[in-house]
This record gives sequence, C-alpha cells and structure tokens, in this order.
Amino acid sequence: MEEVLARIETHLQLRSLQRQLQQQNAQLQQEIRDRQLAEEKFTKAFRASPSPIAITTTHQGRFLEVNPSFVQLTGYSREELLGHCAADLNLGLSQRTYDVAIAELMRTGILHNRELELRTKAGSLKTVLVSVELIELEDQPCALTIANDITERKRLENEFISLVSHELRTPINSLIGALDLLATGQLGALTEKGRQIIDVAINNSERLIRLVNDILDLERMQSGMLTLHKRICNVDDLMNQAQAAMLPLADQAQVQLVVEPMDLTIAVDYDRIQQLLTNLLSNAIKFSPSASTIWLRSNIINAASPLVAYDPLPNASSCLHLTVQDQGRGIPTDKLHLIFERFQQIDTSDARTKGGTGLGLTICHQIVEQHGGRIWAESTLGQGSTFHVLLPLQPALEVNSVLAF
Amino acid sequence: MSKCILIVDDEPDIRDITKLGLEMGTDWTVLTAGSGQEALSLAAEYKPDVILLDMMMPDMDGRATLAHLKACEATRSIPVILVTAKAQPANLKSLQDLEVMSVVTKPFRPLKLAGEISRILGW
Repeated sequence: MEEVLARIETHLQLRSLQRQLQQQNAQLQQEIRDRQLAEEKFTKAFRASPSPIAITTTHQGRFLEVNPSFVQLTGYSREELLGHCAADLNLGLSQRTYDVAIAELMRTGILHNRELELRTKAGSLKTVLVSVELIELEDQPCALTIANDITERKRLENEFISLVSHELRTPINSLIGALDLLATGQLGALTEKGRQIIDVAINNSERLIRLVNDILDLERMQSGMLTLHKRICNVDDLMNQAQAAMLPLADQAQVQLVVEPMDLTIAVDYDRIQQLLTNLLSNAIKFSPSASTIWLRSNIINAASPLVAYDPLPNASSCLHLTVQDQGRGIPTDKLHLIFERFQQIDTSDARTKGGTGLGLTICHQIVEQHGGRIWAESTLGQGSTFHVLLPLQPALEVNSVLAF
Repeated sequence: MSKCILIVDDEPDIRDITKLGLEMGTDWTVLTAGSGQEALSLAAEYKPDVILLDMMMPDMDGRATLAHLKACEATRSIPVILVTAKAQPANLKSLQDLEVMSVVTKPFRPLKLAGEISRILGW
C-alpha cells in the first residue's frame, strides 16, 4: 500500500514538474518571440532609415554594421565596409580629426551635428553632418553614427554666396568710384570735416570690398574650386615680400616687424602663402600696442619634433615651421579653438574698430590645409599670441614633378 | 594725341562714374553706350581707340557684342578691354580665348583706370 502511495506521489510530483517545465518553456518561447519581434522592429528601422547609420568600434574605428543608406552614401558595399576602418577606405577622415572626435566622444558620450567631408568610393567629396552616440556592444565601447548628406544644401549655399558677392560688386564699384571722385575736390571744394567724412565712407567701402573678396576666396577654397599653383619658392623671398607688404601698416601702428628668414626652397603656391603670411601679420599688427614687436620666424623641424611626433603630417619627413609672434592682448584659452571659424572675432566690435572681415584666419586655415599642413595658435592673455604654421617639405621626387610643370 | 574711349555698360551709375573718372585724369574723349547695340553703332561711327566692354548686360551681353565688333570690318581692329564682376578663376578662364586685350574686374577705381588702360595698351 505504502509503495502504491509513494508511486502516486512521485507521479504527481513529476506531473507538477512537467507542468512547471511546460510553463517555463512557454514563457521562454514567448520571450524569444518578443525578442525576435523587437529585433525585427529595430532591424527594419535600421535598414529602412533614410539617414545613413554606421556602428564602429571606438578603438580603431572599424565598421561593425552599416545600413543601406550608409552603403549608398559611401558607394562601398556592406562587405567592403565591415571589418575595415575609415582610414583603410580613404574616406577622407584624417587620423587627427578622428582621434580628436573620439577623445571628445569618450569624454562627453555624444557629438552633435559635426560637419565633415566624406570621400566616396568613386572619389567624389560629400559634405555630411554627423551625430555620434557612445554605445556598448558585446562589452566594447562603440560609436553609433547617424549622418546626413548636406552636399546639395552646401552647394546651394555656396552658389548663393557667390551670386550675392557678384551682385554686390557692381554697386560697390559705383559707390567707391563716386567717393574717390568727390575726394579729389575737383567737383567742389571740401571742408576738412567733409574730407574726413568721405575718408570714413571710402574706408568702409574698401572694407566691404575686402569682405566680398574674402567671401569669394573662402567659397572657392571650400568648394574645392581653387587649385593650388605650386612652384619652387624661396622662403627668404616669401617672408621678405610679406614684410614689405605689411611695412606701411606696421609703420602706421608704430609696430616693429622683425623677420628671421632662412635660405630654403619649398614647393608652395606663392600667392596663397603670401596671402597667409600677410593675413597673419596684419592680424598681429591690428592687435599689437604701439612700440611693440612682431616676429616672423622660420625653422625646419623633422619627424622627431614634439610638434609632429604625436601626429605626423602625411608624406612629410620634415616640415617648414613658420611662426608669427606678437605682444598683443592675447586670446582667451576658451576661444583659441574658435578663431579659425568664420566670423569668429573674439570681440564683436573688432570688425568695426580693426577693419577686419572675420574671415582672414579661416582663409589662412584653408590655405594651410590645402598645402597639407597645419595651423594653430598659442596665447597668453595680456602677453601676446603666437601663430604656428607647418608646411610639409616635399620629397625630392614630388619637387621634380612640380618643377616639370 | 588725345585718345577716344567708348565705355559700354548697362548700369548708368557705372557709366557716369567711369566717364567722370577718366575725364578728370586725362584729356581723353569719353563716349558711353548703355547697350551692346548702341555700342556697335557708336564704335562704327567714332572708331574709338579702345572699348571698355561690360560682360553682363541684358539682351546683347559682352560676349555677343564682342563677336559683332570682331565680325564687322569697320570695328574689327579696335582693341577691347572686358569688364566683369565675375572675378572667379573659372569665369576668367572662360574669357581667355576671346580676342581681348585684357580683363578688368569690378570693383575698379575709376581714377586709376586711365593708368591701367594706358599700361595695357602701351600708350
């Protein structure tokens, strides 16, 4: 009897366990179905998103997953992208830009609306606006990047700038021409005050011309329409010429210009490097107190120099290092990274009082970038600023090919 | 010997200012035309020593006016200097095949224009 009862109890226990197992099984199956549904939902959203999306490792920037919009944007197939990083694929993203962006991402967790140039497989450049979020996948930090192709918007913007600039030239021509004629006094004698007023109008018209020219220059540089005409130039000559061009302005401001040139040749676009040096010097003069000194110096640095050791310039074993140092009021540390952006004068009244356009340093940045170099500034408030320019010294082979043209 | 110059521009202000600027610094005779068509008849009638021709004009633009000037026996040999507000290299490059002495970009300074023209033409 006892044995029968024991068997019944075991049987009941087994039935109970079986029911529990069945319930757990059903639960698990439901969970799997829920997960599959969720995964399907997100996979569909990821695949169907009109915005290009990529997931990369933060460590080396290797693509882990991309959606079809990203494939379409870059021109590379999913297979060509996965497992590779932007640098391998020559997407136009420099290691330095990547390193700086990743460092900021690791610090802040998110990057919003960063504009960058992306080179497609076909070699065309696209302007994209990217937002990046730091996520964790399989225990490793990854970057979820959502991009927006704004190439067409930029093209229209540049066309608009170009059109406006051209349409401004004709009325400015009449304006400045009329003022020039009035200033001669041949159309009627001018009082001293009248002459001063006309000078104010002429100075401001000239500022307007500079602004239009700067906008056009910048637009050409940024739209890639400006081709460099590199030739072998003497650094001595470049620096002395810049000094000669800036001497009247320096004399007027009672500032001393000290140039320490060097006997060296470099393959650069002479006119553009002149524009770079005169922009930097005129900036330094504008912000220098009278009786102060500005130094324009040059030296050669090699790959071991701390200036390039961390982040070498591509294809350059040595560089020309130019510096413009002033004893002016200096730039606040938190503004240093802004000064190469368009219309970023530290003090908004500078445009009026100093006669600048707010585009000079942006143009300098573009010129240096087009030469494959680097520009940055160091400053101490109240003591002055130093602008550094690195220009790669071309390998002999490339110099010869430049000479051949 | 006094020179004769023809300014062709559809903007009356530019015509007036340029004429005044050239007359102030020289003893040149300055004629003005407000359209390509007017320029053709004035050029044929007065045979100026140089024509300052604006590129952007309605109806007959600078390029078309130039083609007519060069096609006409009476005006073919008159030197032409183009004036353009489109100063971008791509724009200037498109003008390099034209039979012109030089290209002046706007904005120019009317008082310095006479010197510039003399330099271009070797006067």
